[in-house]
Amino acid sequence: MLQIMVDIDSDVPLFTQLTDQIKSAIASDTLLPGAKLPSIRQLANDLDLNNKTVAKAYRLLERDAVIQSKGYRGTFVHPDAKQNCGQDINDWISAEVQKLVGVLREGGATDSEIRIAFTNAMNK
Amino acid sequence: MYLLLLIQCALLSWYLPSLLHKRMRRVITEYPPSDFPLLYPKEEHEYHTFHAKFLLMNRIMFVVGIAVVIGLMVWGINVMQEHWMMLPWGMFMVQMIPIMVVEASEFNHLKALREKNKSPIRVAGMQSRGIKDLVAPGLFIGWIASFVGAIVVVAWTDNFEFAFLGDAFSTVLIVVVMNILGYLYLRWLLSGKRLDPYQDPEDKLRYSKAVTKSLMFLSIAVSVFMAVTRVLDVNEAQYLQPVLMTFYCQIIAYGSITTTLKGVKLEDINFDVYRQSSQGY
Repeated sequence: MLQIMVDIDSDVPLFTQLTDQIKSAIASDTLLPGAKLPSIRQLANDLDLNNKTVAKAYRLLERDAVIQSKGYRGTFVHPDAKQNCGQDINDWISAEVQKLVGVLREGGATDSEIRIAFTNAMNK
Repeated sequence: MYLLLLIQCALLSWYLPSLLHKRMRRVITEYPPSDFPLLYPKEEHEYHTFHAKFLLMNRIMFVVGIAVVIGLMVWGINVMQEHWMMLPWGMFMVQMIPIMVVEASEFNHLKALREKNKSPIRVAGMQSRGIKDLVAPGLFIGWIASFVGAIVVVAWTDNFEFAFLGDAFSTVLIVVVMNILGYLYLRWLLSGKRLDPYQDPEDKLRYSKAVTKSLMFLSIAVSVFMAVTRVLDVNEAQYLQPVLMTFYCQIIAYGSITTTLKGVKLEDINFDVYRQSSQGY
């Protein structure tokens, strides 16, 4: 049985510890597509964590199509999980932002103007 | 009937407590506090005293129970009447007191373990523990069927009229309430707060399976018992109710205790998590 271990004293956020371990278990075929995962409540209570922490980890994994929720039947490993867990959305975000910043600088925008524009965009 | 009551005394106050006592002694002998300190938050002598008191309480219950049954025989009291139906139940409730004390002390023990656990490392198994994941489909279907069946049978005895607070209504209410309470307790055990902070996830899964199976049998027994009692009632066979009651008490006690003991064998439990060097779960 796959076991998840979290260190509550670690600097790595708890939800990241969870998502990383689930992704690496899928990548190493320890968790196979279609496998049923524990409910949010069960995992949170077993790890003595807040339900919201586990829910956040599951939500991020679902967004990345690594797991899928099937209502009352529970949460399962996504059929394409192995391909999808290799993609890191943070890397993609960094690359896209770098591209955009490059374009704006070429257009003559200063760094402070870019920062203000980003802040305004994020606050909308 | 007297023989059945004597068997009830022997089973509930001698045989089953002896099984539990033997198991408690085996744990502390084979996995002593010196090697497995995390398993024993209290002083060792307190466990020995508790085990001795448990056995003594049951032996006293056994002697008193036998004396009561012999007294009934000597005085020639006919216990095969409806109003004696509660005798086996009353005996059962008293006989279960020491086992309830063990259950309560187990919760205290686990609470002490949690309070002593300062490890920042926490481990969980990634296996779902839904009710349907833990028991055979046949048992699950049997549980639902016995619940629905009991309601239908009881309703049938009342020509499906269900007079408010009538006998049939009360019987169905008991079946529904008992099954709901059983289900809620099971859900709390399966996905509620972690009780033992060190328990290996594999052991937790094994324990969950055993308890689920045990509670399913218990719920089926309640439904069947209530339906049969009602059928005896309407067929004016109330004199059989004390016999049914003692059978019921013995079956639920034997079934629930042995299912759990057999489902979680000591040899299968990972006791290494209770060693001092354990990183803690």
